[in-house]
Amino acid sequence: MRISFKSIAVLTLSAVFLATVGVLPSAQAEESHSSNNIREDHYSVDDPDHVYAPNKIVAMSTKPAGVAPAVIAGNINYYYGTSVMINPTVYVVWYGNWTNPCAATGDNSTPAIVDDFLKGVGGTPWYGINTRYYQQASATAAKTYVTSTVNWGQCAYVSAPAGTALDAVGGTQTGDVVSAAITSNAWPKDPNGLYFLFTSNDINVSGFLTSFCGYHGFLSNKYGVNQNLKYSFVGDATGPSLGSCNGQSTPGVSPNSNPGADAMISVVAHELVEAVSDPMLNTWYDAGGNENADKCAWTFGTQSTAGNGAKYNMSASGRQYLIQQNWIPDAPQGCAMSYAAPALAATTATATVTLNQGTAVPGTVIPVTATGGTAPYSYAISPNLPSGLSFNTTTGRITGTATVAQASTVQTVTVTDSLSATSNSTFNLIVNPPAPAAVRALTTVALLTGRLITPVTPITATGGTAPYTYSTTPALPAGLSINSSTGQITGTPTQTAASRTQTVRITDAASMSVTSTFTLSVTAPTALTATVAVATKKLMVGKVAASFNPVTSRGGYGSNVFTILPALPNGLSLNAATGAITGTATASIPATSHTITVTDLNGGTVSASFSLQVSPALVATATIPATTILHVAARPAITPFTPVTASGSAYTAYRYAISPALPSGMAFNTTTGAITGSTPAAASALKTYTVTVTDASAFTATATFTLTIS
Amino acid sequence: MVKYMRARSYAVVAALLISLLAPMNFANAAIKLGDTDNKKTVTLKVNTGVTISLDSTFWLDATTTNLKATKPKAQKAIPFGPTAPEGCQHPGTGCGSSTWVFKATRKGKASFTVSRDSCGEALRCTPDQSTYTVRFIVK
Repeated sequence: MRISFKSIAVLTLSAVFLATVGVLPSAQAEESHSSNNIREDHYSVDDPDHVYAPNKIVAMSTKPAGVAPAVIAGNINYYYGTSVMINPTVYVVWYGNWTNPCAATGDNSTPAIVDDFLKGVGGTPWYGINTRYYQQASATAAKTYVTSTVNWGQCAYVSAPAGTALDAVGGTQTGDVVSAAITSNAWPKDPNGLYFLFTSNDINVSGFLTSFCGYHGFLSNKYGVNQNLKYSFVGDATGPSLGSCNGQSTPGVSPNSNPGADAMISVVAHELVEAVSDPMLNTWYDAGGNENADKCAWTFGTQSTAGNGAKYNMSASGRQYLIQQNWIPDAPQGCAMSYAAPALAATTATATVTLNQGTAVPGTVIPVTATGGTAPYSYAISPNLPSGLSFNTTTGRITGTATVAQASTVQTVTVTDSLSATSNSTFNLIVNPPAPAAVRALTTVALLTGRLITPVTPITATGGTAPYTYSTTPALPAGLSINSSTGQITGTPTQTAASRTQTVRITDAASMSVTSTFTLSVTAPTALTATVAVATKKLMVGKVAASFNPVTSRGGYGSNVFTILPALPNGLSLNAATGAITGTATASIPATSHTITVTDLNGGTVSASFSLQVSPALVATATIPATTILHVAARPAITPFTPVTASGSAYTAYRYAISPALPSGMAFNTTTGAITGSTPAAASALKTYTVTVTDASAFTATATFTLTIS
Repeated sequence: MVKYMRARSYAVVAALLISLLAPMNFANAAIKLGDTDNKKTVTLKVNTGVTISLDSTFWLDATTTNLKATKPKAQKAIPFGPTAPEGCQHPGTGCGSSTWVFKATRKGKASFTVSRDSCGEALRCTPDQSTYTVRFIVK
């Protein structure tokens, strides 16, 4: 600490100045932190955005002494598909001014201290933190964790064939030195190896003590080893800048009485856990690109004091070391000197697993999960699962398709971790037999109020386990009920119900159920009415009567039945279902009123009457079947005659027609059927004529006669 | 030597007194501060925005008084690798920047302090490197 006279004066004036401009309480508190770094500061910059505050002389503080270093917050993340070093082996290359470094052991030489650390760090509680780092091919793949082992590989000494400057642009790189050592010593190109390069304090590695005290990386193809071998550089910082690599709060002391070596240990520890968790620089790091050791740099946790006053916080190989904490990636994440795994705990994730016989286990069913302990876990289940189901002993997942049913059964899952700790939890497993199926026999049921319905069973069941139980929702309209054993609906609806969807649930003896629906409506019937469609009907004996409906009906309940009184004449009949009259009457009747009665299914009746007359048959008679008229040139008048006469029909008067036309001069009376006129102009041979008689109801009859003009 | 120091101190005191009596020269335009402004005092008007951008991503959360943060702390890391600037080629060097944006909302004095422990990969900051402080006088 150096305080000049000038600085004291400046501090005094600063206090005067601050008092002059008005002091906020918070600012006063800050001033109390002012210490030795008192400087005169003329604020003047070229940037026009800056404010120029001329000749301010103020006291400033550096970070207060004794304030603990802080961690870099934020979770560290794993990136799927990348690798960690599961079981690393360390190889050591001593470069520079070292004395027989690979033979050193047990003394306080730097190589002995550093090598002892690397040989003993595996299995320590501190290194155990790294066993929380893992690699995983994908989110659903198994995790492979770093083990607690750090293997000692081999040691090599390289004096300094590449000179004392490394990592300069265009010069020899640390990777070159490591690569050369691997080659010259015929070391294995160990993909799980971590090759350390330790340089003596006379070796100038570009960036050392300005950008880093060490680093780790991997050897790319340019080094000729073509193995992506992992390596790390750590330099001996012994000298004026040792504090930049040293965790000791008191300069000049260290747990192993070798401050340079103990400072290297701090850096070696940093690089070791980073290289193991992030060997290819793409595995574990936080959003800011910080690896595990970066996040805890210069944080040491609880420290002890060695006999020489040095601080230490861990032991390995019979030595004490002061090394930084490491980042625990398990939630909640943070820095620590050791990792205590939470106790293994099996937890029921699904209290009751219900499956269906014959149906594949849906989705992912892991009824019991494990936490804590030391992964990986193995799972066992008791009693055995029903036939067709499988239990994955690595994941605890149930898969398959049960081929048999199983009533609710308590299943116990026992989880065992990699350290043989066990924990168990239970769940209930039910395998239902196959569910019944619903068969829709009717899609629509339309009913009328006030009438006992014909029983209907719109939904029936098949499959499952008989007997079945039927229920329906919503409740049936008043007067109707469903038979819970058969699903049959009976009763007399007493109130109307708008068309609606009726759901029928069928539950089988195994409590499996299925539903189906039909449409139900109940309406009030309309009034039964009968209407006269044909008020008067005239028929004739022997003539086919075209079908006719003298009375029609509407409304009523269900189908209607037609009856008639008095009975129809022989030969005619009434269709009881349609009310149509058909047939050929064989007997005549005078005009007679007939009453047709319509009766519906509910017994309601209505009647209407019409008049029916059946006339005797119309008859045309050839009363003069053959006539000869003598031709006379003077053409005298002929004697009138009526060749065909009509009789029988009650529907008078008659009309007559003749075909073909009579010879010229003769006339045919259509009212009487008489032929009059004069003698035709010319003679003609015998010719047959047809006379058609039509009565008032358009019934007809015909007869023929012959006429000769000679 | 003692005489020289005394004389120099008097000169400094005189200069300071003069500066206290001289009119302040300040503005209310946005102010940008950087690494070279450590331990300085800045005079500014109320409602002036202040942006402090420091090299390194190792700067931790800042402590401020009487300054209203208008944006959260922003960090921009320089990806490491062979093509990165010298000193940034290895992970853990903290290469990049940390930026804070504030506004002076009332008259009086204010301060901004931020600290860090690492100044590189496994490289501990010296005391001078570990703290960055700027004071403000808000008029």
